[in-house]
Amino acid sequence: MSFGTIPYKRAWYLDVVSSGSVDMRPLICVLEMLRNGNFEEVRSLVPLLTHSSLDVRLYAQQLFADVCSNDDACAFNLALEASKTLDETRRIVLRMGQTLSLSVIPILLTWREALNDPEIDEYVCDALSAILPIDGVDQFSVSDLIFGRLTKRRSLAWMRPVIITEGKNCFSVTLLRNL
Amino acid sequence: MFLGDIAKELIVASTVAFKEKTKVIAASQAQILSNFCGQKCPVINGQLVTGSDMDALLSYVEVIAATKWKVGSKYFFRHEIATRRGDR
Repeated sequence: MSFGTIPYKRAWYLDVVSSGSVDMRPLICVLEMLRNGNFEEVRSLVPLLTHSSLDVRLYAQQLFADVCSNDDACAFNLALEASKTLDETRRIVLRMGQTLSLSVIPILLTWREALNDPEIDEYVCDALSAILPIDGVDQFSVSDLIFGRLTKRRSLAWMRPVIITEGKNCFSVTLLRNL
Repeated sequence: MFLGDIAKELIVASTVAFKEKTKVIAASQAQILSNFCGQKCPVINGQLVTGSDMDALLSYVEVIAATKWKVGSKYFFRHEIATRRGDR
């Protein structure tokens, strides 16, 4: 099963392992390390986010979204800059939501404004909903409400790569539910 | 975010879909469960749910519940991911 044939659906990692092409082999090796809890190679996925092969790009983007730290998540900006089509841009936006990282929010909102496309707004809203599930926010109100409220509450501090609650670092989404 | 909450959301959505014979509406829950625990979730977004799917989902969640998960942490195949690069 190729990633290139399923633009918006995710492929389960272990299904792809058995069907990888030559291009995919380095990624499969990284996947094996990640599955064993060795996250040293996460940054090696960054160049693959903009690889010439669509299958490699898609796989790398999905894998990177699932394993990146808050610091690493900003690398999705490179993928957006290198995106060749609007379709791919939308897909990357969705992947950014799957990082569960607050550090991608400013990037999403910046690209939303730059692209100025109503369809992109929906994807940005979906991505933000994955990170910050706030009831009553849709693609029309996403910028004003979310960004406005976050900014009002000194959100820039919240958007730092490290989120700390009760003295511990976390990837918290629930922290923002009460905003 | 806590995996237990995600599992509850998926069970509720799946139960509704099963009772109403509609497709499950749970955009990301199954994906998060699968990634975190390293086993493919038996119910996915947009799926029609049968009785055996519900049984499989409940068994799947029982297995997940046997593991201790930290609130606010992100996991990949049961391994906790550091929030910052330097923490690896």
